[in-house]
Amino acid sequence: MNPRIVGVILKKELLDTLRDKRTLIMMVGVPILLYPALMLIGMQFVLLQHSKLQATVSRVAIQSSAPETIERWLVAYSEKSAREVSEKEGESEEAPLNITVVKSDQPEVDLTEGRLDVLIVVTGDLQATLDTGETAPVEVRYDGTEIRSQDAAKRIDDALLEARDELQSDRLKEAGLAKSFARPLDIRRINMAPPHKKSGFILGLILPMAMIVMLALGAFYPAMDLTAGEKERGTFETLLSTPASKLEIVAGKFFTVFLLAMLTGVLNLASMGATLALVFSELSHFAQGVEVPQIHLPLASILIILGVIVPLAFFVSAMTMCIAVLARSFKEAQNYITPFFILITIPTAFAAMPGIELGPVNQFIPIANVVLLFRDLMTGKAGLEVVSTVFLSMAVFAMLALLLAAWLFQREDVVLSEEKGLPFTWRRSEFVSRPALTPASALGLFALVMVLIFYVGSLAQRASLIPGLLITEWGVILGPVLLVLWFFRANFKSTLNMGRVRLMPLLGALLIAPASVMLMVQFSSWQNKVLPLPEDIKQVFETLFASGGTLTGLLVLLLAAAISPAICEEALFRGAVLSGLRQRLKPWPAILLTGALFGIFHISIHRLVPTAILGVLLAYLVVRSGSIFISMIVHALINGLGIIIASGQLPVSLTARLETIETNGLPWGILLIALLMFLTGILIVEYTSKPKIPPIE
Amino acid sequence: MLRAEELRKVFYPARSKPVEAVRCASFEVKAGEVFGLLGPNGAGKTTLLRMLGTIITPTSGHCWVNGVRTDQAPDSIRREIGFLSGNTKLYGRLTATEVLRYFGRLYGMTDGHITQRIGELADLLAMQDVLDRRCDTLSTGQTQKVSIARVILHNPKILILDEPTLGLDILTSRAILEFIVHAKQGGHSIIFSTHYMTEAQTLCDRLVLMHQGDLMAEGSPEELYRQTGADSIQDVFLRLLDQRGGNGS
Repeated sequence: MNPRIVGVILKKELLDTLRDKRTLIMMVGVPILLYPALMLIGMQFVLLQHSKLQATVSRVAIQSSAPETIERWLVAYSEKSAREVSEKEGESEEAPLNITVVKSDQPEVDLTEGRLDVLIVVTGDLQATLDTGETAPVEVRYDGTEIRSQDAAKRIDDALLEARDELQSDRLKEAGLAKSFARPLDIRRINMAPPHKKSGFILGLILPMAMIVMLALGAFYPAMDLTAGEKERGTFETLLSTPASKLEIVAGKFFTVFLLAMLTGVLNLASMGATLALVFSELSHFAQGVEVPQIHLPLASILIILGVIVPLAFFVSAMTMCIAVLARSFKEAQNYITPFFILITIPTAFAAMPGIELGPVNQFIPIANVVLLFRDLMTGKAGLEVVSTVFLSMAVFAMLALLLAAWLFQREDVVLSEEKGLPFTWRRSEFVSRPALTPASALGLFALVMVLIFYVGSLAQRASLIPGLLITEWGVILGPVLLVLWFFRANFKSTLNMGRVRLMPLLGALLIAPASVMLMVQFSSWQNKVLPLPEDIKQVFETLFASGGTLTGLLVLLLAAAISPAICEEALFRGAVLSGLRQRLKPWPAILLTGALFGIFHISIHRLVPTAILGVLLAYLVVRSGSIFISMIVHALINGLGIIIASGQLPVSLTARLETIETNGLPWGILLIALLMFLTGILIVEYTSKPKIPPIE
Repeated sequence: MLRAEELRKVFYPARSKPVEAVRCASFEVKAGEVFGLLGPNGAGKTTLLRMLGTIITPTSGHCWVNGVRTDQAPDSIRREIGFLSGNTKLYGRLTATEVLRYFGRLYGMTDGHITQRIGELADLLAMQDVLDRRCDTLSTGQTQKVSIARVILHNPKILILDEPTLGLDILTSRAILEFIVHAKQGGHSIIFSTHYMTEAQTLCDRLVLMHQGDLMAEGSPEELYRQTGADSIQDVFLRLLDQRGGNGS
């Protein structure tokens, strides 16, 4: 790679992009003008609304045996607050009263229809209750969806509380007791956080969101313009005809996107900081006595934030380019980018979640780690170690994203694609018969099944567990698989990898299945230490396994939770998905991806890792043996053995021993035997298989 | 100068069956020769030229430029080639001069050399008045002239021109054809595709006729007339098509 050529491309792309009005508006226009303007307008609007509400007179109706008593309280309070307003504003005239008592025949109807703000209801004889020294119940009814009514209810609350205090001190005086008698404790809550920490906390909630959104917007337009836009305008091929290598081209374009994203991010940070400072100073001027955070950030934090923005912008720029280069036009690129945009803004919600800390796991999750680090930096909590881990892990992700972009740019079917529009049609007649689904339709099928499980499967299982499981497996998983294969004219036999079962791989599989059960027991005893199974999940399993107490129950359970998943889930994952991915991917990437999808499919953080590993194993067996029936047998055996063990169909002594294994893990001897069995099985499969799935071209 | 051996290209569209765009194309182009590629739309001309220009890689077969196999040093091979097709457009937001400077730098030319070449080419192609205008404001003819300047700027030995006169008015077409003659006299090898038969007849030293990915015939216009007994290239083409039909292919 020649840095001079990269520089030439970078310089030209910057010039070209900065002449594009769309990019300029997104990059410079939004942060510098629109966005502080919107904030200040919003601020003014809030202030206006507030003073309007203050000037509003609340309309109150009273239902009581002694309305005049209550009215007297309200008037007293209203006069007092009017005096306070006049004193504060230094006006000679008296401010108007803010509560008026109105008569109403149907007060409840009037309240819900907005003709009345608050209705005070006192049941029983108020005066008599007060005279006898008892407690009178007072209801303040209001409409919580109306700001006017909410505000009125607050005023009435204040007025009634003041009246209560007065009545209380009268009663105490009568009894010859001091005021403090009814107030043995005076409790006050005082926020001891230093001012910079308070403001940091608020900034930590707002800034990461704004920062990521703005960085992304800063990256999106140039990324789309320099890839999909260039394809659309027909200049990509011109560039490809020059001596610049694909790597130099991708580097030049990438640095352009990265620089522009950084510029947008920093412009935004500065603009947002300035706007917030302005807003806070307005607030403190307006709301006297209310605690207003002061913006105060240590210089070191600002420098670290700028430092962390670098890998963040790097990552977002590279990912955006990867997505945009797949599109053939600017408009198409926008369609692809939008879901990515939503996806990367989700982690920003992390910062607002209570209890989520930058821990050993999430400091490696891209974007989420930066968001949490931002928050901690704002409150001065983050240490050097965490900063460097986040920086390094983001740098690694950024490099991976850039490598992906470079790989995509090397592919002529991506860079020079001439197919118009999205490669999809709803007319079945337009499809040609094919040996497997395309990778895109295989992944689409997976997504469809996931959605159906979420809406149909989980509802069915909640209604009734075992029938629900059967409906999920056959109706929600296998049904869509068969329909999609029919629709896309995919050959059933080759798509579902229905090769003949041969003896040796079968023998290997029969060794692998029981060994896997033992290894999985061991794995879950490890995992339980790090990530204990929550009680509610445990309960679902217990209900499920309890139904296997009788022989009929056990048979039904085996059908629903061992045989059905072995057929239906295998058809989806080791059939349609695996063969679809194999159209584009080499065996191992396809096997690993199938396993990962199988893990995700179980929608549970506790089952993610073991099921993903199982998914990889099953996919490997199918690729090596060429027959899905092998993985079906292994899947059925693993689930079946698990059920038989868990449903207590074993002699009592063995069950008791299994319970200790669940917590303490397998004895070393047994673990060794399981490992040996597993490896022997794998060796048999590996060396006796002739792959039946033809290699891809 | 340039030699192609059994070039073949298969595309795998997502929605339909694989397409064999070029089947087993072998030929040689000598220095100072105008080599024509003739055929109807969809014959595979553009795909073949893209392979020669190292824009895409052949599914099988190889290509040599000055004895160097193109897949072994594609980036440096492109220095020897000027490539123009309907898909090589110009950057609309840049001026003609900015575009030419950009490409000159990508070809490793010095700024002084680029300025000198822009001056020469502006005279040759009569385009002084467009140099400082943004490319998105130029007419089709003016754009094509700037594109030609872009292709010849670094003085490549081989020019690959895919339908250079398509959609142009007579005057600009004539200017482009005159330029091809001029380039040939300057010792450049020119490979160009067209579906205007008369253009090919007057310009080409040798030509190949393409149909559905196959090279049907190769030779000088006179040789082709002799082989088929026709008196125009159009006639040659139609007769060859008839023969193919008669052969049952």
